[in-house]
Amino acid sequence: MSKKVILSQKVKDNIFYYSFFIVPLLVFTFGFVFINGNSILLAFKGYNNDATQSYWVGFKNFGDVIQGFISNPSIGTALRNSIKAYVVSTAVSMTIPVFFAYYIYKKLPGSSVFKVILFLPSIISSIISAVIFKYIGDRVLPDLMLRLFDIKMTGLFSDPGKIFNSMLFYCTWMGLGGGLLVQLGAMNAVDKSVVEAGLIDGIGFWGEFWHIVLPKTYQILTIGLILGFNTIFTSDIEIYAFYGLDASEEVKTLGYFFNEQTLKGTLVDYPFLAAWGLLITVLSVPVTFFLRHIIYKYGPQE
Amino acid sequence: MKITKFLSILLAFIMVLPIYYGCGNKGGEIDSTKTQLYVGNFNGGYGDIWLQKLKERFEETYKDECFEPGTDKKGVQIVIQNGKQTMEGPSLLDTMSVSQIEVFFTEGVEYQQFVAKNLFLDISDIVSEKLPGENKSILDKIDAGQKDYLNINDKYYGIPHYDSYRGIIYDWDLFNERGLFLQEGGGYTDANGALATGPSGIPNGYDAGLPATYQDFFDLCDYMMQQNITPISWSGEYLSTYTGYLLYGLYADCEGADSYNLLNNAGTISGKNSTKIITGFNGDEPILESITISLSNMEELAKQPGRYYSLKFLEEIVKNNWYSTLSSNSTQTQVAAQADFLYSKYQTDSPIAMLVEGQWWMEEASDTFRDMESLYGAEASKISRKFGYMPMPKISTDRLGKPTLIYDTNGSLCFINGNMTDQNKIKLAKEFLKFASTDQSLIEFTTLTGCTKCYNYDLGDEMDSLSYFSRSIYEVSSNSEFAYSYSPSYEVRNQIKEVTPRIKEYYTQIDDNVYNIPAQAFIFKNVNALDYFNGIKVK
Repeated sequence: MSKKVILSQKVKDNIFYYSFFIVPLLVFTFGFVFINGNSILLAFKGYNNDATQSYWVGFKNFGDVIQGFISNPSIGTALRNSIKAYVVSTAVSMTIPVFFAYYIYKKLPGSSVFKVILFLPSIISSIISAVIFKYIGDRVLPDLMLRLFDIKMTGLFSDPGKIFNSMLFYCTWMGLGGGLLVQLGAMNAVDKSVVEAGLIDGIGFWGEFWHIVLPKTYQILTIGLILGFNTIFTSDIEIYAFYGLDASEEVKTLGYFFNEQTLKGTLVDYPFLAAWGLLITVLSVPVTFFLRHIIYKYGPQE
Repeated sequence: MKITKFLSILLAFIMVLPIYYGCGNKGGEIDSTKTQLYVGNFNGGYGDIWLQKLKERFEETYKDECFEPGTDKKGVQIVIQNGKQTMEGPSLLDTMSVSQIEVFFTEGVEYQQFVAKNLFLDISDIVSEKLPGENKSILDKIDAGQKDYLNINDKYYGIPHYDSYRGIIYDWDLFNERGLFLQEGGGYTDANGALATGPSGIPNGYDAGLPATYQDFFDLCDYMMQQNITPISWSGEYLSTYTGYLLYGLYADCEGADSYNLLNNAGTISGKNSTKIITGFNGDEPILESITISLSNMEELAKQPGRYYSLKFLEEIVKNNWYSTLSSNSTQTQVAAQADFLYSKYQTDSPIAMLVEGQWWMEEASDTFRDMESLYGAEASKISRKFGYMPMPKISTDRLGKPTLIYDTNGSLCFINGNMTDQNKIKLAKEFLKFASTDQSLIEFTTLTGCTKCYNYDLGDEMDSLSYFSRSIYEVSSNSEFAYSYSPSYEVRNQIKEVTPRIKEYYTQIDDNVYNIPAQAFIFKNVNALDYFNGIKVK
């Protein structure tokens, strides 16, 4: 049978399954290619004041974004909050899930309970968990403090001095389950014969962790560190779920600020926001590759 | 293989089904013997009962009329499509041009933006026509401010819908039972006593016995605390929004329409571009200077005295702890705040006297009223309990007698879709809009919802069928002026958009800290009104 005939027969056999790909392909073309392409063009446009006409403005929008970062105090506050959120969440996600995963991997006492507690936030709808957390932080805890210790305490999600750290704690805790799952998966992939050999050589509990298990999971950790850099610009640490568009200035992150401007803005505002998105991409990509290079070059090898 | 294909097709079909039912016609069965008119309604606090009644009367009135000459169709079928987010202004901006809905009753509409995009039909012909069965036109029933707003190059593309403003609601029953009304000559009394003149300056007027000045209000709150009454409450979850209503209301009333509207028109309306600003303080007293506002110096509006006085008012409430504890708690929703306000009379030793809310609050609290009625009997029902809307007090006695300026924020409008091309249907849509603007329809709206339409109309005998609160709202609306939150042109709005949000929304910077919620800064950060005011700037 000639190749053409074989190919034609293969297509005929699989045409039914190919037809299922048409819709997702169309969705991808529109939802990703077209929309992102349009956003790139939008970054170089401006609109007249009644938003009926657009025109090319070159790099003006990018200049406005940079000027905003320099002179707008709200953006300054948001940037500081975003960096703080990145550092804390990275520090936590690189440590706590690893230890918990190792504990569960070793099937130590109570490991099933830990699994449930840490996975639970990932299973429950984020809006429900936000509401529960808010009630615990604003009603239950102050009430308990007053009844048990006679200490008057403002709500963790009402007092602007406490909101950001409480949101950080919430967001980090919600993310632990996902990190745990990935770490556990990597640990379970460790070759049992290597572990047995190590145990025979007397490496012990922590030796097994440091010399066998951790190097196996190191790549997973580094992926989080590398990709996490971008979250400085995009993460809203669930502020929108808690406060909608009513968050106070002190707690906003860049991600929340950007979403807020998008939801409140009109067509006239979108070119600025499109330029913002492009500028962040241009900034994040080389930094991300640089981080990757450093970590792979100087980090521990398997 | 065949089973796999069959299951795949079945799964795909199941996934498509919800799309069909979700996006299909929601208006019910279509009567092909009648002409359809598709009407969209923002189904918020006022619901759609008033529209259902309007539909019934219109269909009955026009049951023998043919709107499609050359066909056998007689009569009209109004097809109502309710929605909330899908029917709000920002959503409609993107969807209206391809929508089958022909007439809209909604809110959140940036009028000039829609007109600039040719989304509204020109209805200039009907706004000056006499309405069915009346000697008045739509223009005869709306005030000068509304005409200024709706008139674009001598054409009209929309007409007002309902009033939507917020302010201080007070428990009339509590005021009466505990003698909290201000007495003529000083002191406090119940509703049967000699009541002091209210902010309107009208002796024995609709606001008699209510605080006329800020000082009256503060003294009343102090008196309430001595009586173990919590003076005021608001939603803690929406602290920014609800205390914002209070601030805007006080600010607008203090400034007056022309001065307050400079925030929206940037002084572009001829003859209405001057105001006073605070240039310094002599102790606690502001030093005022007159200024002419234009697009180039809009940031000066950050220093309008109304803004300062509104902050002082709120600061006084906070520093004296005159507010409910839960009003600073982010879990206190507006419905929970309403429930606490309503139940406080029965379930606590410290009833709450006032609530910061919108005029539609009783509709929102319907479930709470029902539960209370089942617990405490008919005296606790929505129709039995008496509440009033408190006009904003004036900053001092020399301002008494000036009409209350109410800040209407929701941009509620009725209009016809600009994508209509069938002249017969356009005629029908215009008839429906006119019908909805007759006195009978306006009165029906008020009696069914308890709230007012943005028109001048007389309720007559129907006043007796309203709840006490609805009567209070009607009286306040009839005796007040209104300021609207949207700019005279979209062009001006976009030119000032960098300036207005920051000063409108009370952004301030004190040292390195940026605040945008005055109540939060006062409650948690011990910031005072003077520092907050001085830190408000655009850049």
